This record gives sequence, structure tokens and C-alpha cells, in this order.
Amino acid sequence: MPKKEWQPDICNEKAGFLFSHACDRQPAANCGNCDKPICKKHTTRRRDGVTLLCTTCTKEAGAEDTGRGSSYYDDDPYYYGSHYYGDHYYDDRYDRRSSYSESRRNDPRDFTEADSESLVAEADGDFENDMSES
Amino acid sequence: MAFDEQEFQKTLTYLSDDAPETVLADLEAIRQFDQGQEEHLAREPGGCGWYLLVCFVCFIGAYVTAIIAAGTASSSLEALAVMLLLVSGAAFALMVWNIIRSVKFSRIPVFDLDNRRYELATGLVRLAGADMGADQPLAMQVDFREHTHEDHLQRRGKVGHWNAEFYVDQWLQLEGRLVDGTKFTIRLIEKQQERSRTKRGASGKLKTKEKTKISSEAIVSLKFKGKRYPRAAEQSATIEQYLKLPQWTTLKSVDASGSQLTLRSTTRASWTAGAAEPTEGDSTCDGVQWVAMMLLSLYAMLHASK
Repeated sequence: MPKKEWQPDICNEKAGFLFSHACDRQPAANCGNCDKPICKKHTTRRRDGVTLLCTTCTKEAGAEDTGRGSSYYDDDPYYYGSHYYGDHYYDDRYDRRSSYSESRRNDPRDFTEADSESLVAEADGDFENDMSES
Repeated sequence: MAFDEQEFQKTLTYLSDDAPETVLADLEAIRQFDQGQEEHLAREPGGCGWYLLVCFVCFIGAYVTAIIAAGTASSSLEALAVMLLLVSGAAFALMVWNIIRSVKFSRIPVFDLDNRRYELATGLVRLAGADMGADQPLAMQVDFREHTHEDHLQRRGKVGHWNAEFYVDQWLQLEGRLVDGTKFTIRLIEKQQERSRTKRGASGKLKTKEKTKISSEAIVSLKFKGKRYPRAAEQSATIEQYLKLPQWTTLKSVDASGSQLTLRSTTRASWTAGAAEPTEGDSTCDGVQWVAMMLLSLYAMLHASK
């Protein structure tokens, strides 16, 4: 398998809670498996206590190998979706190491902060919900 | 703006419109504040009345005996009198110290917050923060006042033979925008009925019974960008197939209209959040899991709408 070329100055993990998207944090380490630069939030320590893994590799390694055990998803938004809806909760191609490619990092379907900013000006005053109690 | 503890003590309501990291830091400050309050409560002088009585009896007993002993001609009894006077003085000092301590304690207001509120808020900010830009503001309001606070009283009435007071406490509201442009709102509501009933027993005595009924409701709303999820209208007809909620909760309603989804669910179970102990045997009703599954359910539909 050819070695991946990661962007060095930014976290390259794309796992999210509800959907995958680019991470805008600074990398704090590299994944001990795929060498991906990852931020602190996307880092999990393997059971050996030394090796650091990205969220994608942690999911592939499984709960036992990473010592997460029954608390696989506890306090960690990146594992909720796969825990309750299976590994293919959202576009699972994003979370498979084998499918990582240059084109993937520029996937036009990735969400960015610009998407949310583009909506700030939209009128959404009608978003308030009916809070009347039954 | 940093968490202002003094202001918080006045209102017992946390309001914020900051980035998720800042909100998490504030919630941690509230947790520390509450732990300090709990430690203060644990130091409350217990059995104060008995302690004071024992000190008083020792003081009087030792003092009177010392006076009697001092009145005798024996030098050994004089020495005993001095010792008893010292004991009497110590008992008196203990008595005064205990009174001062009790008065001081009663003057300090104590706020024992419901841990679930800041623990659930923390869990939800962590979840939402994973899909928000680091600098995107998160509007949050957490009301730590008792749910029987007069502001939460809706009405008084009857339920069968019971007199009931109905309280509705919308204690948490969280709003923000995710990086896909979707605006989310999460609300948590505590509904409580305080019931009481007075009747005369066979012996002629008046007896009053009281009981409380509580239910919690969670409301999750998403306003999504139609361009991102073009098949949402089509999928919304079958939205119920995407819903997965914890077994201890009940679906109240799900509404899909236009680019807005709203899911309501309720529970009467005693749920926890954070590192709280399980309440019913080994099964924990985790509040963070509850809201997380509501969000995941709605997003399962959105993922199928791409």
C-alpha cells in the first residue's frame, strides 16, 4: 500500500459526531498506525499505553485493542454514531484507512466552516419552536 | 467572558454565547463551585444541640465541684479544685466555639446544585463541539434553580383526590450551528407534580400525604440546508424508520416540515449524566446518550437524504 501524503500543519482526521468533516485544529501527534497528523481530540491511546491512534484506526482496531472495552463510546463523540448505528453510520468511506487518497482530502462533499458561515445571513426567525407544554 | 461566580450565585442561571471550549471551561468552573458547596455542607456541625448540652453540663459540674473543693482546708482537694476549674474553662471555651461555628455556618448561603444539569450540559457541548467550528458560538442557558421555584409554577389544581401543583422547568437550552450549516436547538424540560392530600383518620387525627411525580422531556430541532440534503422531503415521510431511542424513553412526536426536523421524547426514568452512579441496579439511564441518540436519529434521516 503506498504511503499516504498528509498535510503536516493541520489535523487530517475527518471523523465527527454526526458527520465527517475536516478538522481545523493543530496536530498534536501522528497516528502510530497510518502516520496521519492528528489533534488531541482525535487521538486515542492503544492498550499498550504508548501507541497513539487516530479515530479511524481506533475504530478499525476495535474496542479490545484500544482498551476502550464496554465504555467504547463513553465521553467521546467520535464513537457514538458507530456504536448505535454500526460502523457505516455516515459515509463510511471516510473512515476506512484503505480508502484514504489524495482526492478524498479534497472531497467536495466535505463540510467546512464556510458552509455554516454562508447561512448566518439567512433569515431563520421562524426556527423558534413551539414550547407550549402538553 | 469568564465565568462570574458571584453573579452566578445571584441568579443560579448560566448564560453563555461563546465557543464550545469556553463553555466547557465555564461548566468545569460550575462543577468546582458545586463540589466546594458540597464539601461545605459535609462540614456542617452535626448533633450541635447534644454537643452544647454536654459542654454545658461539664462546665457547670466542674465549676460547682471546684468551688466546693476550694472551700475545704485539704491541700490535695485544692489541687483538684484547680484542675476542675481548668476543665470547666475548657468546657466553656468549647461551648462558645461551637456556638460561633454554628452561627457562622448558618450565615453562609449554600447552593447545592443538581449535578445532572452541568454534567448533561458538559456532555452535550462535547458532542455538538465535535461538529462545530472551533470559534462558532454556542448559545447556552442552564437554569440551576429548583424545579419547584415559583417561576416554574404553571397552575394549581386537582388530580383525583389530590391537590396538585404543576411545575414546568425548561432548564436547558442549547443552540448552535454545525459545520454543514445545520442549526440545532436542544431543550430539556423537567415537569413535576407536587401532590398532597389531607384526611382525618379513624382516631380523629389529621393526616397529610405527599408525593411527587416527575417526568423529563427532551426536544431536539434541526434546521438544515436543503441543498445539502435534497431528498429530505422524500425521506421525511418515512422518518420513523430512522429513530432509535433508549428503551427507557418514549417517543412523543416527530415533525418534519420543510427544512426543519423536530423530535420530542419523554421519560419518567431517573436518569443520570456524567460519572454519576447507576440508579437502578446495573442499568444506567444516561441522559447524554438519550440526547445523542435523538441527534443521531435525525441525522440518520439526513444522511439518507443526500
